Amino acid sequence: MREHFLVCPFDEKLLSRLKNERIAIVTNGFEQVHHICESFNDNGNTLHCLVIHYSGSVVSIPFHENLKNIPMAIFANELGPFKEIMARIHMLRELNTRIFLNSDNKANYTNIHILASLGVDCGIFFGENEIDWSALNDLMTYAIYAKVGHATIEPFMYAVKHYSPDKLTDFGTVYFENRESYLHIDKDENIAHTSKDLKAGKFIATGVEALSQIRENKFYQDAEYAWQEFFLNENPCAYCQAWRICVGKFTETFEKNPGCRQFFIDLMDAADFYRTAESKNKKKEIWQP
Amino acid sequence: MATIIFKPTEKCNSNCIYCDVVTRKKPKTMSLDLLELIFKNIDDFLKAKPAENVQVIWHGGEPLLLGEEYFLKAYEFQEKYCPETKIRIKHAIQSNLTAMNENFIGLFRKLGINQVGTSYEPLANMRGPGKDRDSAFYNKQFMKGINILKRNNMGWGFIYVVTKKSLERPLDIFFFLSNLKLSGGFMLNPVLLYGEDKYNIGITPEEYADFLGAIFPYWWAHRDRFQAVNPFRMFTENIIDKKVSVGCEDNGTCAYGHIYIGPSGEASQCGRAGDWEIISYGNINDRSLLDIMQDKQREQFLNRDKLLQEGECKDCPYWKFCHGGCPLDSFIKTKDFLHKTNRCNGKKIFLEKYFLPITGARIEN
Repeated sequence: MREHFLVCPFDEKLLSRLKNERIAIVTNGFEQVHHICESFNDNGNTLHCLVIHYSGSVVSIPFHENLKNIPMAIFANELGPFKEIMARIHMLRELNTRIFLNSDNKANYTNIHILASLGVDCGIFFGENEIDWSALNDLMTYAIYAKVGHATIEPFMYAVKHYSPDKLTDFGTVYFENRESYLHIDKDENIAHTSKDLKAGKFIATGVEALSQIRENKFYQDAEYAWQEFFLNENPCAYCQAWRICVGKFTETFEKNPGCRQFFIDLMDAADFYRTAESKNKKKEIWQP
Repeated sequence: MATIIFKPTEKCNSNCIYCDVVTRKKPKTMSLDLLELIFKNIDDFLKAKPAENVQVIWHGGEPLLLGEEYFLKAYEFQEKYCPETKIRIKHAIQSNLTAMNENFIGLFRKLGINQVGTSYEPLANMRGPGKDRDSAFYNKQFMKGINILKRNNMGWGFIYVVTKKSLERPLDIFFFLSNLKLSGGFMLNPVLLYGEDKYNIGITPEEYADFLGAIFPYWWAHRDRFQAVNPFRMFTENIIDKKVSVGCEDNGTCAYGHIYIGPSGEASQCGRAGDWEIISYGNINDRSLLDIMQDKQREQFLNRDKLLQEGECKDCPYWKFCHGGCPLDSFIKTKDFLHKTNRCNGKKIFLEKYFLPITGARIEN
């Protein structure tokens, strides 16, 4: 099995060309969920996750018990009334699902907080509008430091769990956007590092045959060192103490809204806190035969 | 361990603002005949000193400008002349990496080199080729060089030279450097000038201390994050962990441990002494390595230790971390090796104003 996960739309012709792959399918709704899952019986492919970009509010999602074993990442703009969430809270907790809400909707900072406190794994995804770094910081503080029980909130949990001071931590992984873990492929078999590159036509290869040799691909290799552009172009991110946990993700908005710097500095501190707490909580293991 | 600072070429493809070797001298390159003689000499030395090892530090100029063939020849000479002693010869290299290519990797491995020492400067037009020091071009080539090392699992560490231009942005520079190499492995060194400060880049020992002092509180608070940054880690290990281990300029043992060999075979005490032409031990064409290593002039460095302990450095609590510092730093100020370093005050300021109060450590006599 290859080391990358593939991210692609649901296209039966494309899926039939893929073999023994771990695949995240991107779709817009729930109508085809079961059909998609059934199509994974052939070719030895396994469903890594269903990535659902849902245009309605979360409460309008037809959650059902038969979704229980399907790994899903739901990206929605709105949550909807909590009263209706509460009616299905037990089922939501049971699902193998993470609900991501859009940062463009200010209410979502609170919604995520409440969802997590209700035991539903969730996360924030970054929309097109300016990020409220202060609200995001509050949410992160709750996600990592709160002593009361709650479900995980991404991308904070990923960032603190995978943070290591001597390497870059790319929390894009939780959004299926990390060249080390994911490759994006469209129905015409164009392959790109990210969904953005795929949309922009910045392909690293075309044709599923290229997948097996992707690490030898020049464009793939070049991208490994793309981060160095920050250092060559006097980019302020290269001088930022939080670079190693942000990797310049907000460089385009930094000048207008430099709040990212303090947020990521605090996230690094949270990561240090998490690492220390984890090592203290390490349970003693008694020998056993 | 005898350390040979080996400078087979003075040619360089960069015109770094703090180096005047290229402009001061007509760059020379060591002939292959002389290179061969060096390996014969190393073998003789090691046979005469069965308990000794030799470290050959390839320096320049830019040693990679010698080309792959030259390194291959060095390897062949070592194989030919040192079959029994080669196990006691270690090689290291200091390069700006801008002429690095994949072919060097195999040659470095043959010589047992698995990491490269280099240097880097984020501020524009400080390093680079040409009159204007094209740092954009230089840095791009440098990155290509480190990528080749990374692809081949070779390590690299670097030096940052603190100049007057660095003083305005100590933390920025520190973050930049530690972002560039997340696992650490860099050293913040003061610029060392001999003679005229043509570009107004020189700094006083006190300025250097304050530069370090601006960074140290952050480093100390996050030392798990930024481990191998020196001189911070070195001071921490020495003063807090009580593992006394300091660099050549501070360990007081350079007298019989170092030798510089330049492109014409000229011998001196170390790289700086050779570059600045302030000590001459003759030439390897006329004297054996063993003979040069036992040159009478070296005695003054041994005596210096005693003189300083009884005089200028008497009762100094920092003696064991400093030993009066580099004799060349004494020479810069007094034209005499037998005084303490002219950077003494800077070290004291850093320790007393920053290190000791921030860490709460105490110096034990």
